[in-house]
Amino acid sequence: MFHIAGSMMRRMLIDRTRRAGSEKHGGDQQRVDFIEAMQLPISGSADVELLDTALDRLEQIDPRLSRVVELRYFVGLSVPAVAAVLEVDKRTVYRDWTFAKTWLRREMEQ
Amino acid sequence: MDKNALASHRREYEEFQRLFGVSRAEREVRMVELAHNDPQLAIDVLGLLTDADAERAIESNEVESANEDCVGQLIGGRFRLLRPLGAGGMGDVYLADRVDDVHQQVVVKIVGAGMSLSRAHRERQILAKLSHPHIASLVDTGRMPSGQPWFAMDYVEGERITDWCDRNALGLAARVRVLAQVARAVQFAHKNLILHRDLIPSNILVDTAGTPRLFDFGIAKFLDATDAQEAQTLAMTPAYASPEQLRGETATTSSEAFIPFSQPAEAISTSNPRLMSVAVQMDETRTPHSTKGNRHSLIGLCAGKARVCYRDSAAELLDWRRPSLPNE
Repeated sequence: MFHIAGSMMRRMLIDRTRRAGSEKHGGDQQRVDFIEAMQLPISGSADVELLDTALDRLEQIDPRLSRVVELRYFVGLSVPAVAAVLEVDKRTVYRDWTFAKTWLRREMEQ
Repeated sequence: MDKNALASHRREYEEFQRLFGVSRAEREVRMVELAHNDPQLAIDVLGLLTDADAERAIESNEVESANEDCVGQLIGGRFRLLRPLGAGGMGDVYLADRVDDVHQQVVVKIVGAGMSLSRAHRERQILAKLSHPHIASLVDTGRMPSGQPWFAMDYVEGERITDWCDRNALGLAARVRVLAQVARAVQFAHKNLILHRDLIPSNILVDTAGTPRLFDFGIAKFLDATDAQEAQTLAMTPAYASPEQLRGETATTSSEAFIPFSQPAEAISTSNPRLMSVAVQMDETRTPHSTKGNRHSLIGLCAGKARVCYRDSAAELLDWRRPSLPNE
């Protein structure tokens, strides 16, 4: 159930941001606000399409990485809660989380 | 992503997992080895590890980074800034001592330069209008010599509602009672046509007397504002947003009635069952048979421990008699 909630939140937020970005008036501003509200480790002007692609790549590297990002960012679970949902050690989640953030930022900056 | 790129990313991840938690010395030994076998991989992994370390350092220093320079400064002629409390979405936040006749500690929020003045002005109006025992009240406002607006608010020594519930090991019934107080404050704000718009546990502190207080009407807006674009302001915290907010629709008082439910849910169980109700809610809107009546119906989801539901207003939430709550 949480896996579904995480990916649904992700889909919805990305679609929403995409829509905001395509609006004629103030679309850019809204998109920036939105990315900031999502507290992603990327700058507000980053392209949301890039983020989506980067998340897909992360999934290919290891599905657990994208699960952690979805649960942590899009669902807002704490590290211990993510660990409980994925049934792994807290340290594993923290390590995956740190890798994902750092990796995503590098991907988005390229 | 082509096969080679994927393979090298996987190796990066593998090495990162191996080296993230180990000592510096151990890391160095492995890096030398890597540099010998696969120099590009060594550079990439080192880059990731360095960034990850830097991030950890920033995380542990976050509070200190909220502009130390201003400490000691006198604001509005009567608030002496004591120490930074953190940097919020709206600007820097300080603990301050009132230095005129009244002895009082306040929170001073200095709005960032990038902040639009109209928004700041709005916050001021909103806060001035709200006087409620469960809402941190506005003490004073003004402008810095630089033109940045500032706000002085009640200082409450307390902790996040979720932490407080956990630390006191409150039972479900007690948690619901605390939450009812929050709901009353929310209802009060709604009666004044004010939405908080970012009701999250860190904005609800419980003071030492056990009274919950709502904080930071930073992104609040007046309900009677007619600018549709503005009503869609996207500043919110996704995990706590109502289905309407997530869909990018206008937030209403009923969106906010949704929010208190995130509190007992989260306070009761770290597995945050409210999210399941979000998913169900979204599903429901997709069914063609969905009627407005459906929205009024209680979506009770038993997620092992907590029951989550959605009602139309904070008032209804208060009237709602729980059918049965497990573990009571």
